[in-house]
Order: sequence, then structure tokens, then C-alpha cells
Amino acid sequence: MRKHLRWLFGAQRLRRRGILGMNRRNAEYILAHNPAAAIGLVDDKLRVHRLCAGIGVPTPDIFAVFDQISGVRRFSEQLGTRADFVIKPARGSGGRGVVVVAGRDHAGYRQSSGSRITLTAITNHLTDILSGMHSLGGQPDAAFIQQRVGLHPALTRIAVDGIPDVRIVLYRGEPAMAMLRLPTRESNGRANLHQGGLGVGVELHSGKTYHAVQANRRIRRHPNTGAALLGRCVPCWDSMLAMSRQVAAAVGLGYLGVDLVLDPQRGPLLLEANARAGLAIQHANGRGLLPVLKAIDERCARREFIDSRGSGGISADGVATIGAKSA
Amino acid sequence: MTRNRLCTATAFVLVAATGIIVALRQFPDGALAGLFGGLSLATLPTAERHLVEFLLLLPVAALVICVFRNLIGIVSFGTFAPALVGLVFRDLKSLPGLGVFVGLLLTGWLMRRVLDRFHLLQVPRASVMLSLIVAMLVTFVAVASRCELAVTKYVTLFPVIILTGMVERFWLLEADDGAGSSFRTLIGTLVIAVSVALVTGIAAIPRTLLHYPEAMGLVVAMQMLVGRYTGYRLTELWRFREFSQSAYQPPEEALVISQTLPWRRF
Repeated sequence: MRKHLRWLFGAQRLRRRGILGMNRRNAEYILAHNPAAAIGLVDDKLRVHRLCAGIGVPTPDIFAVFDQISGVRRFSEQLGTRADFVIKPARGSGGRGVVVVAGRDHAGYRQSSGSRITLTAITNHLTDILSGMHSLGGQPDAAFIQQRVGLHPALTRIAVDGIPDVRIVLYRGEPAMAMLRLPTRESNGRANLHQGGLGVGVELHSGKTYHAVQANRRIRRHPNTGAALLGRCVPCWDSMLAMSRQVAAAVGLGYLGVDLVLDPQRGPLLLEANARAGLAIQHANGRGLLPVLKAIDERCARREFIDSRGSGGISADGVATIGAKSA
Repeated sequence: MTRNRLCTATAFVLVAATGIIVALRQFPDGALAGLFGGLSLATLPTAERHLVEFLLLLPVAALVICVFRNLIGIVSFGTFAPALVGLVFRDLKSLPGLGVFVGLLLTGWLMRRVLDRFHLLQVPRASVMLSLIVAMLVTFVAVASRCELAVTKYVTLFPVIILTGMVERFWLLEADDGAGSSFRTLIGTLVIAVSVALVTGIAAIPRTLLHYPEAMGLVVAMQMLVGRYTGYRLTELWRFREFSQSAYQPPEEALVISQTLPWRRF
């Protein structure tokens, strides 16, 4: 009995391992470092898309934007013969309201999950999005049609039924922790951790995977393919870090998560930014965020970074280890 | 740090002020006693007293919600919706109310499933839901009164608008994250609502608040203290149990913060 209740008395041990909890994240990182205007900016994926175009960060192409119910009728005109795209709400979160279309035939469209969706169902879905059904707080929203990113050859053995993405959490403009999110059969091709997707911790300096979890449990191999998850290199890692830095500086958020995908043709693309980056990245990395965030605070206090809000800069000592005290 | 101290200080001032007001009122000849005697809430007519009592209990219910969300970490449909449902349970003074609530919600959810086929726009769809829920309630009241059940005179107090909103949230959560997620949230909502009903059902609380409305200062002080609590939530101890129970240490070299790359276009 006592053994089963041990987790109840784990606060001290969690603190020692530097686990960041929801309350502390909200009070000390989001409220203190994220201005409301900047949160409003990243909540709207279309605004982030435009901002990225302005600073030269590549994003998936957007084929069409629908912001009025009357425009929804022209869906097939605007899409032409395209049969490979993603429908998203501009202000949705956590994959809500996303429809992935992977092909079409005489009867209609085919979803990536294999089920069919008619043109009427698509326009109805667009109307739902516009009326705010999938947006934060239920406010009226816009819908957009985005390029469907392909699966990079380097990731085929470790991604099942969907596209993996990379989440980098940045604090004061510096990458603090990163993970690769892999879809599984159980997660229905979605890379969300709480739905059975895999979280794989990535070393920031090398882009190598070193720790992996499924539903909080450590694993070494992909449950569906049996492929090894650890010791793999994420392709284009340096560009991903640089892109995430540029975006963090441009949106002006002190604590944010940046999601990137890897397109086989175009390389890393910025998918979205998140002002309330979740805490599951700690599971994926097998470590807490707090020591890293504190180390970044210390480095900022020592002015090692030139300007966390500027266009990036070169740090004084290059690589620094957490906890290493400067002389 | 300073913000925490400022908050604790403010909470302390609120508690002290409440204490001073209560103490000063004990002097029968004092100015405060005269003021409060003239504005006494306990001597209001019954209807007004009920209204004031309900209003005074709202912040208490909100405090219960703060505790559940920030100290325990239970999710619910809406932030303050469970508080209103809980206050209605309190008026119902019975467990059948709970069953009625869950029954209405689940029936509403089934109706919502059917309604989805019509592809209605959001506001008209919500209006249809509202009408259906009202029809359900009216039928329930009629049937229950035929069976001479005493509960029914309270059922009309059910916050129909809140129920409509909850059905919609239940439906959306079920569509996006599956039935497990939506039922977990439903149970969370019920736990919070029942707790609000139990806490506000303690007779001493509304009585004290009616006689000493300044006790609201204590409630606000506690809300402020919860507002600066940055420790772990109870559910997080469970969520992160792997970290407190396994001895696994990640490799040290992964602790390296990456080199700041020179800015470049790509």
C-alpha cells in the first residue's frame, strides 16, 4: 500500500530533479515573459505565417484562406486539382479541427486516415471552423488550406501513419529543450503525446536522440516498427535551431515552443509557435526544465547573449554546460 | 520574489483589516457598529436575503474552484460553470439532483450527435440545443410532478444555458480527444460541483457571511495566496511519478546548451 502511494510524497524529489510544474510555468514563465500582444500573435497561425515570410523563415505553403462563409462555396475553384492538402483553423490548438486530405477520386476526397470525405463535408467543416467551433475561446475564426508536408526519408522507419514534428522550447531567445514527436498506429497518425504518440528527447548541441517515452514509459524501439529510436540524428538540426531562434526573437515571446516539420524537398519548415508550451517535453527528455531555464537566466545576467530580442548574436563562450559556474 | 512578497503582504493586510472591522463592530457605541447595524444583511426580507446569500457564496465557490484547479489540478468543463452547478446542487439538497444533471448532460450529448448531421451554423445549432434541453426539462418536471416527486420545484433552477455550453464542450472534447477524455472531464466537473455544494452547504458559512460580510476579505486573501502558489499540483505528482520514483539519470552531455549560431538567412 505504501509503495503504491509513494508518488504522493514525491514533491521534494521532483523539485530536486528540476521538474517544472504547471503553476510555476504559468506564473513565472508565461505571465512574466510573454506579453499578451505577442501571445495573440502566435495564437493566429496565419499571422505567424506572414511574419515568417517577412523574416525569411520557410513555412509550409498556404494554398487558400477562407475568412467568410460566402467564400467557402469557392473551395473547389480555389483548390483546383490539388488532392493533397491540410485544412486547419487559424486559431485552433492541439490539432483540433485539422483535416488531412491525401487524395481524391471521382467520388470525393480521401483522408490520410483512409476514410472518405465529400466536398460537402469539407465545406461544412470549413463553415464550422469559421463559426469558431475549433478556435480558442470559440471566437469566429479563419480557415486555411496548407501544403501537406511529406515524410522525410530519414524518418520513415520511426514514423507510422503520420508526419513527425520537432518541438523546441526556447526561453529568452535560447533553445532550452527539444523533442521529436513521432506518430504511432495507436495515436492515429497524430504526433500528440497524450494520444499515444512517442516523445523523443533530442540533444540540443548535436541533434541526436537520446531518450524516448510512450505514455510516460521509457522505450528504446518504435512499438510498431521495432526500429531503434535512440542515437539517431535529426536532419538539418542546425537550421532548425537557427529558425527557432529567429522566430522567438521576431514574435517577442520569452517562453515559447516552436514546432518544425521536415519536408523531403524543402527541408525544415516552421509549422507554428506556441506561447503555452507544454510540460511533456520533460518526459521526452527524462529531465526537468528548471535547471536549463535557470542556466539561461544566469547566462542572460552575465550578458553572454547579446540581445535575446534582437536578430540573434554570437555568445561569448560558445558552448556552456548547465551548472558550470563561470570564473 | 518581490511579487510573491507583495502578494503575501496584501493577503496579510486583508486578513488584518477583516479582523479589525470585526473587532470594532463589537463595540456597541462605535461608529462601525452603527453603520453595520443600519445596513445589516441578516434583517433583509427573505427574498433579498436569499439573493445576497447566493451572491456571497459565489466567491466561496470560486475559492473551491481555485483549490481544485491549482492545488489539485482537476480539469472541468468551463472554469466557473461547475460552481454554478454546485450551488444549484446545494439548493436541491439531494443526490438525485446529481443524477438529473448527468442524465440531462448525456441526453443532450446524444441529441447533439444527431444534430451534427444537419450541419447547422454554430449559433442556430446552440439555439436548437437550448430548445431541446428546455423541452427535456419541462417533460421531466411534468412527469415528476405527476409522480408527486418534491424535487421538481428546484429543477427549474437548473442553469440551462450552462448545461447547453457543457453539452457543446463535451461533444467537442469527445470528437477531438475521444470518449475517455470527455468522461474524465465530466467526472472532474462533477467532483468540483459536489465539493462546491458540500462546502457552501455548511450552514455556518452563509450565516457568517451574512452577519460579517467583511469576512469576504479572508476569502480574497486565500484566493490571492492560491494565485501565487507555484508548487506542484496533486495530479502532477502522479503525472511526473516516473521522475520521483525511478533512479534514471539522463546522460550529462545532453545538458549542453547549444552554441548560439550566427544569424543567417537560409
